[in-house]
Amino acid sequence: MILDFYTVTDDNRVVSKNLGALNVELSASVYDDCSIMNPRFLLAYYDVIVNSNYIHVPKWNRYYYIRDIVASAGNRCVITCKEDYLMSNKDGILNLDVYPIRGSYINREPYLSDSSIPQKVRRNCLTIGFPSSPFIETGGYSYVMTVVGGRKLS
Amino acid sequence: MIKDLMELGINTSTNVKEITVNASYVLADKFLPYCVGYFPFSYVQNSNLFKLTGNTSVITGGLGTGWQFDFVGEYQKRGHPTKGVPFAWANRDRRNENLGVGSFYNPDIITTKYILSPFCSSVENNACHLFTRWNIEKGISTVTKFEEFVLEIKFKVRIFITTQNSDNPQVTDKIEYFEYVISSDDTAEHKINPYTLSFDISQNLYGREITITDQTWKRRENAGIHVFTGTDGHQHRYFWIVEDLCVRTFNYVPVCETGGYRFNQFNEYNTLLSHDKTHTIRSNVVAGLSFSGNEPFENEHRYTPPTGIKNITGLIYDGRYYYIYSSGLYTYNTALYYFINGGYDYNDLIYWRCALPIWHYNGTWYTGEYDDNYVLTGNIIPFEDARDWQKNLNPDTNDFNWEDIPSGSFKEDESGDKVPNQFNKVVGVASNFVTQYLLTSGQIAKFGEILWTSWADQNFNTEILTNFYGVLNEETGSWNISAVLDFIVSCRLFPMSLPTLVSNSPTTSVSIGSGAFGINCGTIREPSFFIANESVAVRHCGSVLIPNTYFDFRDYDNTNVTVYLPFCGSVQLSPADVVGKYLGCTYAIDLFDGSCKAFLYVMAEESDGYNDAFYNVAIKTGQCGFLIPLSATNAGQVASRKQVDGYTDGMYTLNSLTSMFNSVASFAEGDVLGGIRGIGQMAQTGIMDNRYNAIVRGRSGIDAPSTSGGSSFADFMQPAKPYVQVRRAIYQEPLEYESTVGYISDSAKYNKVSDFKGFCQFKNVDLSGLNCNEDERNEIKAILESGVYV
Repeated sequence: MILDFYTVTDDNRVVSKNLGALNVELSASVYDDCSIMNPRFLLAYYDVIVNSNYIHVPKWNRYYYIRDIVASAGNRCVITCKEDYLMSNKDGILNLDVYPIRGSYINREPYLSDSSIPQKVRRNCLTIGFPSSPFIETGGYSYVMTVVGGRKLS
Repeated sequence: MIKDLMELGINTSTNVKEITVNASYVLADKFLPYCVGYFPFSYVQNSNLFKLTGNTSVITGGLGTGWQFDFVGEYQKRGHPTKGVPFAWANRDRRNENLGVGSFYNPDIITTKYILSPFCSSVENNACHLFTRWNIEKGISTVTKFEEFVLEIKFKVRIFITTQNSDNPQVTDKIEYFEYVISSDDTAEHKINPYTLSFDISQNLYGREITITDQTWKRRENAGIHVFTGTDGHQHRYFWIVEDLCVRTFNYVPVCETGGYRFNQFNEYNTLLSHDKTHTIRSNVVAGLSFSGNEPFENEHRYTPPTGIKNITGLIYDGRYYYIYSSGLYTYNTALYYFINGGYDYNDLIYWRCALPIWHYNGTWYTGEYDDNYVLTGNIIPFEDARDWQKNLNPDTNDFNWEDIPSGSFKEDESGDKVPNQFNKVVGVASNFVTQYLLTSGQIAKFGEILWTSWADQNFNTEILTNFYGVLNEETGSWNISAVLDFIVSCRLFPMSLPTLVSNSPTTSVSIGSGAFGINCGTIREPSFFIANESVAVRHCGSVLIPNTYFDFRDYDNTNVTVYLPFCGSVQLSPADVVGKYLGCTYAIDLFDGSCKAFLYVMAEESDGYNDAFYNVAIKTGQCGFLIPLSATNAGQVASRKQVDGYTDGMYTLNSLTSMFNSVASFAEGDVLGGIRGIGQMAQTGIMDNRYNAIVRGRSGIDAPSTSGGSSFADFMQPAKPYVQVRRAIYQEPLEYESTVGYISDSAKYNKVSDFKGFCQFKNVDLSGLNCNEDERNEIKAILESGVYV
């Protein structure tokens, strides 16, 4: 089985990763029984393996992160891998129909509440006075006396 | 977010820059251009750009005062590889114009480019107001999203103001040179997103981001939303927008809430009217009536077109839903209405190369000067925003009936109807039994002085004293204080200037029963008919704009809007009701029991007029009339000592006649008959066995008025002016927040993952079509829903 070794610096969440240049193409065997999603491979040791963190297994059409490299006697090594589900299925994923919740370059709906934006404890306070008031601060008050009758009878 | 200067609290009227004509010189301050309306489908307007004052004879015709406009600019279209594609129309406008008082600067504009075309809108009070606006070639419009706009534009406008030497007209004095630059420096692509066009134009108007259209838009009309200057020299922004077939004022709905669409005019050149000025005839202008005067609300037809509009059709066009209405002459009541499309005609060289979508209800064509009679209209809604019943209309028929429109229904951010006629009533209490006197503090003291002094020493006319009905103790020469106080229903202090509130306040003498005390003061009743003309005093406090800060959800979330109402306390308002809107406040004060109600309501625009209220948001009750303590138990002692003291300790609870009137008389809105009926009832129950004393005795069965909600004089320590406090959370957006965390999507699109880029988070991902095992599916689904970089 052929393994293509790469050094990938993209974030694991990147769907379509930039593989960069191929480090080396090596022949390997599956080590013991293992899951295709978390396989281990036995192969001859080369220094370039240590400098790689990502492999492509053409036969399985899958991409894997290298999780660990165990050096063995006889100039051999065992690499433990974990599948990159995004990269392995990138064509299918990119073709999925989806509804976005949030994103960097989307049609932002500014009036949907977004609790993820950090909020300070402090608050702004704006005071706005109305232009006028029925009431006066001091002086000029009016006294209203209500009396019974109160008109001079003729 | 594009912000509207009005919403930012910038008073456009303060942007008037005066140019003082001094001999042959014209001096001017640097002017501030700004955008009005929902840019960019509106236009850049240099409101009140110049105002010519001073020695106007210098600039009148013949002296050759000239204005030279020189426009240069550059823009970068979206996707265009080269930044800074120049555009210029200098040749079009680089010329001198005689600009005298009463004349216009009228550049000969051929709208083959995106141009900022200046024009002079009006001359009034020796002031000429120049404007600029965008003109684009005529054509067919569609609803275009902001993404299609150009990425960036910069342009400079240079304006030379020149005059000729008054002594030697052959010599031109170059006087002043102005230049301003409008640009958007941020060229990041995401800036195209309509919701990321964020900048604070209130701080730097010159940095206002400008976007115009690209080539696909070139052939379209961008009549947009217009602003005009009224005869008072100020801007009037009564934009009546056809949206959802609800005509609403532009001011009322925050600009940013109208979504990422631009509104524009739909034009088709197919008919010319028989007129010396040709106009296009098809338009989406719909009947939105506005009146410059004080037309009653009932005459405004928000949902009903003026009589005579028949040619209403709807069209599905370019995937969008349009309502197309014919221009033409219509009648409403006895007035004529011209509905003029926003199009223009190349042959119209008089004043308007681009006629505004205006209509005029006095039956005259636009003549070059605006006034309030012109209402500018024009708007289109995208189909997806239309209501269901609108979408189901058959666009190919004319059977659209205005009767089908659900009146009064509310759409989000829609204004709806106004609150009809609140506060318009004059509430008078039919009262043949009481009189209310308006007294000053000195008159109150004088009244006490009289009471506490022997009547015999006061030289009262004994003939008059016979009217005092036992309030005099003839043996001691003193007043029978208790008897006097029995006639007093209440004495209240109102912290306001009541004479300005109460109309028809004749001067008369304070009387007890029918005995006059010789203290002349005002009364609150109309003496001829014995009706308290204004038992409720209404006073308006004006309105304030509850401002936006962020122009997004943050203006509402974690926002408290508290209104302090003097003598009523505080009330919390829902930010959703008031943010971005004008909040009005009006007090109604009961002069009988001293209670008051404060009404808070939302208005379409800044106004003192309560008739502009769209809906009430709160009504708060309080007490602003405070009982002056008059002692009954101590009255005799005080009288025997003949102390001159109008106020003593101890509260004598004075019962209000309010409850009595509720039961035996009638409150009526200026209804004398109500009072008569009340009197009749009183007679039937035997209450009128004595003219006055029966009423006095009857008080024992009447509840004292509630004084809760502010009855303490300590309330005077509080501010006497209502105010609003908006407490709003402060948000902190880290650097690269958008690219790493992103913002919430409008969720309106159902697209391929590949259509997105950057960080994206999806919901309810459907993995159909994906060829992988179950565990892989679960992992992929989880990853997509937690966020990936595309």
